Amino acid sequence: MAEVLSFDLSLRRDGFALSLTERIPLDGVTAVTGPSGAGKTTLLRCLAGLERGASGSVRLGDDVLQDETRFVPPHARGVGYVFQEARLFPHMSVARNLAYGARRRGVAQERIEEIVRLLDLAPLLDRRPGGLSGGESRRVALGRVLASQPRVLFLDEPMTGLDSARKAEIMPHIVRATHGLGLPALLVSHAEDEIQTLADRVLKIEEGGHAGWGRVPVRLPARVVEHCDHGAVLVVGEARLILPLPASAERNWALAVPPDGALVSTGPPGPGNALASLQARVGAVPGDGTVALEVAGHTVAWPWPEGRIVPPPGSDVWFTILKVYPRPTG
Amino acid sequence: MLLDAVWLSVRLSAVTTAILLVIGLPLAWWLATTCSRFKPAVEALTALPLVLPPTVLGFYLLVLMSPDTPLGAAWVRLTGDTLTFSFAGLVVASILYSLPFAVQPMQTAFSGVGTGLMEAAAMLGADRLDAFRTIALPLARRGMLTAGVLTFAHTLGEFGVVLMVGGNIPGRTRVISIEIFTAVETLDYRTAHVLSAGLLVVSFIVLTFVYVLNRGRARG
Repeated sequence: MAEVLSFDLSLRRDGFALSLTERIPLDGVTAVTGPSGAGKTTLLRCLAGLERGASGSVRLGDDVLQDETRFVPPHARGVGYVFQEARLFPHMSVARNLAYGARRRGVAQERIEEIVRLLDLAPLLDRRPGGLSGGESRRVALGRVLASQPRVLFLDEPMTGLDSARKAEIMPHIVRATHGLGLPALLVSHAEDEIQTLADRVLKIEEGGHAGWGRVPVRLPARVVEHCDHGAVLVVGEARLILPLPASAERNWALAVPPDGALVSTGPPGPGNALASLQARVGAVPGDGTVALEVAGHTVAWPWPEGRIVPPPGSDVWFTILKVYPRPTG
Repeated sequence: MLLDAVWLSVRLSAVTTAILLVIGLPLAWWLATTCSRFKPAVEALTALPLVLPPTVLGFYLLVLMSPDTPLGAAWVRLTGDTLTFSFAGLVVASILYSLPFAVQPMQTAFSGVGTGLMEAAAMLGADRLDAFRTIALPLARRGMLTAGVLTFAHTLGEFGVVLMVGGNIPGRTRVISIEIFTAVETLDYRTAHVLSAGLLVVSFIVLTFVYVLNRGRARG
């Protein structure tokens, strides 16, 4: 049973009010989404203890971080916070940046070495933050937080301001940090690719309040069977598809299929730009806007457009994949 | 006589600078980070010596430190000497007079560090004192050096406040600027020239040093 981060928080500032009560399981990645100004970053800051004006309670597992009588300061909360900007200490080398939190939390040197390997930081260790590129800086910032061995990781739009190439560079590292190390995380983001790739559940907030839980991305397991000029050949169910993955890519993957990333048809699909077509079977229709589909040996809750006729349960259909967000699973 | 004045000025500047760096540091940090509604008033008080005529400050200090006041009487009981017309009195006056030269460069430097890095340090397990010691202080070291150099140079050239509080007692309160004044009064232009040129050169060197330091900061 996973620990829970529970909170009942309110904060009032000029022209903005936050009022949120929630329980978030501490396993996998919980994405916090919502429009700009909804209070996503403010929520993270309140939970981290960086907003002294926030009232209410915060509990991390069995530990009370904040209530009417208690306010655990940020440095003692066990939260690792990756800010929107790298915020590296400019007067320290990358190695000293990495060791900063680790030393204060009594983390063994082996852990730092593990993080250096995991995020491929060895070539950067002697450099100063001023000489790093945007992607490298974010990587070091992530590594610095991971090396401090937090209980929970807060990722506040960790890839904001990066171009797609830099994003592609850092995304696998974030996946390794959150899923490879098994560290529970809260991810503030409104980028669909980040949410689809990383999130295991989606909390929506609007105007400082709860706006419901979003759908968990549909994920299909896949494994790399060979490499070709265009990337890696993966097998998902009985189908094969090619994704532009590096030759060093992990063997097992989870392919997140966004709602607009697949078509369901009763007949076989015609020629087109699809990545792959899989035979699927219609299962239950729970009435929540989804249809259960048995695809590639898994039952997934596939979002079904309102008004569109659902084939009877047990019908064979084609599940044609147009777009996926791959996430390595080992 | 001439060397006495130089030695007294150097001693006064060194003691004032050391004390101001110690008491100016927390004040500068507070001013750089606080959102208190008292901040403008404290900032104004700190900057007051920049616009107040030294004679006005000196006059009030003379009144405040005289043996008839509780402060002056307590000092006499404690040390057996008066606070006015003494080296200790000059130090007190210099601290107040040079306060903005110590506080403002450090405040600017601390403001440049910003809250972002301090928050990052806190989230990595550093308490406030630890973050101040390991992040704010090293990043503000140039500002502290500038503060020290400017305070020293400013105290070295003090005249009005020193004359009001300390008078003109050779070897006790006669600092370089008062020695120059006395030399001119007695038409000893040679002494006045030597001391004035000395102060001019020192001031030039100090300011050049400060500007080089700030250029380094702008680049770095």
